[in-house]
Amino acid sequence: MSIENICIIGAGTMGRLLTVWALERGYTVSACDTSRNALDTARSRIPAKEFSARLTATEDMEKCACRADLVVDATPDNIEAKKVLFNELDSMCPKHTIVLSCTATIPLAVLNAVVERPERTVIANFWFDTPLVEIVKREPTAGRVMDAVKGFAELLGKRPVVLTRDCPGHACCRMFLGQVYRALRIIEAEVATAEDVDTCMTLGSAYSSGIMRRCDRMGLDFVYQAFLSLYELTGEHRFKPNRVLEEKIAAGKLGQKSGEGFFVWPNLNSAS
Amino acid sequence: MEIRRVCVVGAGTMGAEIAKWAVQGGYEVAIQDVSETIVRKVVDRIHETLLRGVPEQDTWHLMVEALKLEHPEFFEGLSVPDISPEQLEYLVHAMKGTTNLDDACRDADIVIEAVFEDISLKQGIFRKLDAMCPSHTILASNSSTIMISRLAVQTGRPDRCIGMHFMGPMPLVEVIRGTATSDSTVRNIVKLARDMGKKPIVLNKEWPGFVANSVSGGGGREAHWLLEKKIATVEQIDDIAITGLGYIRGPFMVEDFVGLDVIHDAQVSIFEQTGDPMDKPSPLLEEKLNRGELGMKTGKGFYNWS
Repeated sequence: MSIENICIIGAGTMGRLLTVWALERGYTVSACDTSRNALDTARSRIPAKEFSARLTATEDMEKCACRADLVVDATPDNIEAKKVLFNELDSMCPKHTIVLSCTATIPLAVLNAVVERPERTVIANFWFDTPLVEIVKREPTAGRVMDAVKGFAELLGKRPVVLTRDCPGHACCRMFLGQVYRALRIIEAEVATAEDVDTCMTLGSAYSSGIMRRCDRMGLDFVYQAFLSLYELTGEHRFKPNRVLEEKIAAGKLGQKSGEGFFVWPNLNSAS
Repeated sequence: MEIRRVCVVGAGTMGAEIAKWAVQGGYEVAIQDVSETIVRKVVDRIHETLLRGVPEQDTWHLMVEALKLEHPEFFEGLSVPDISPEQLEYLVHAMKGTTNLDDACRDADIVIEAVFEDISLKQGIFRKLDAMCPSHTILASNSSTIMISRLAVQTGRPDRCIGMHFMGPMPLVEVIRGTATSDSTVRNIVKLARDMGKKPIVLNKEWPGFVANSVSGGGGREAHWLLEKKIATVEQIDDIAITGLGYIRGPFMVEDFVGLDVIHDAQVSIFEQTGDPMDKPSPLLEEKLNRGELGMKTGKGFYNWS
């Protein structure tokens, strides 16, 4: 089956990245968010003018979902909100539409519990600006849906890794948070600063970049939400959001996008 | 206080590297090991590397070279002091290799202990060093898991005891303050690390696994869980870690390099300190150990190396 019209729900960091990638590959994209503000910001950050004919930005999800071949959920990993969203999409989308979730933490079964056509639900965790896409290949997702999504990811220049089972956090986000929770405890206990943690990882453990800068680039609200979701799904204490993270968010320090998180960042708009 | 003489206790892989870096940093070095053969070998190899420029081609050194090409910014500002070829030659020839601890440490300004990761062995060495060394001598431990305070209590100089954790040939040195470590001890160790061409990071407190191993171990723990639950294969997990999380080598590849026995011992030690069920050693590692699969060195670990 061919994908032409894509509806991307959620105009945050991941939604905006996906919008740009899809436009660059010639798709027609409607970006959808409940917040007009988020949509305007996303629109202002989409670089090339030649894309504007193929891009619409709207708060009306039904209007764009009913015309989409592929709906991409790039909303925050809030379990209850996602259940509501998938239930709505299930009735809004035409039969042929693929409903893809970029969730970094929620397993397929949780989403499928609220839909009537689980064979078209698929999880593909596009992991920010890296080439990684984790695709969960398991029942009841249909073979044609899997193939189409894998093809879509490859067309965007990504490197899909196909997992045949899933779990809360899949593989990538689980490993990521496993590191972050320890790093946050080290910072909380004032053993070392965020800067020093990153130096230890690059110069000691041979990482190409430090984990705290990574958190800042992803957005601390994303990291917090991922912890919260994983904590709710597993009940495991290490995924309980850390105080340090809560304080940053309360202070409006969300990372690169807000100009400051664990580090101070140059202005995003003037830099790009 | 001027630091001129460095003594290294234990001439295993890490001890030998530490001795070499100290010579390059312009220090007079003595290295001690219980084995005469090992001491000879290490002294000979340092002669070869530093005087005849024989390149180091093992996997870890090659990985660091690759890192330098890919991320030159990590290495900015790291350099050894300018010493003349004549001075280097003098320092290499002056390097003392011995099996006698007293000979090695009695005029040292700093002793770096780099023996096996065994607390009673290290405690015994700290007691001996305290009795043999001059009163000003700093006693540093390269332990990767043992808290320096547990060694410092064996001595009459806890303010001059400190953690100095080297990570293979990587540029990082974690400098760990014990509960009694003095500021001047920290300053002297930071300077020594810089002179060795390393990047010292001072940790204000002792912490299980320190920083680098604790954080990367947090990812490693989840990697083991994913494998246990058959969510993903060894290759897939390493691939995801590299593509998505910025690892240069995946967690399983690194564990095979380091040795699964070493990783297991470190996990046991961290678990003993925290008592946290989340830090329990991985059952997968225990299985591997029971089968004698220790990684690269035995030809099999998570990967097949033979």
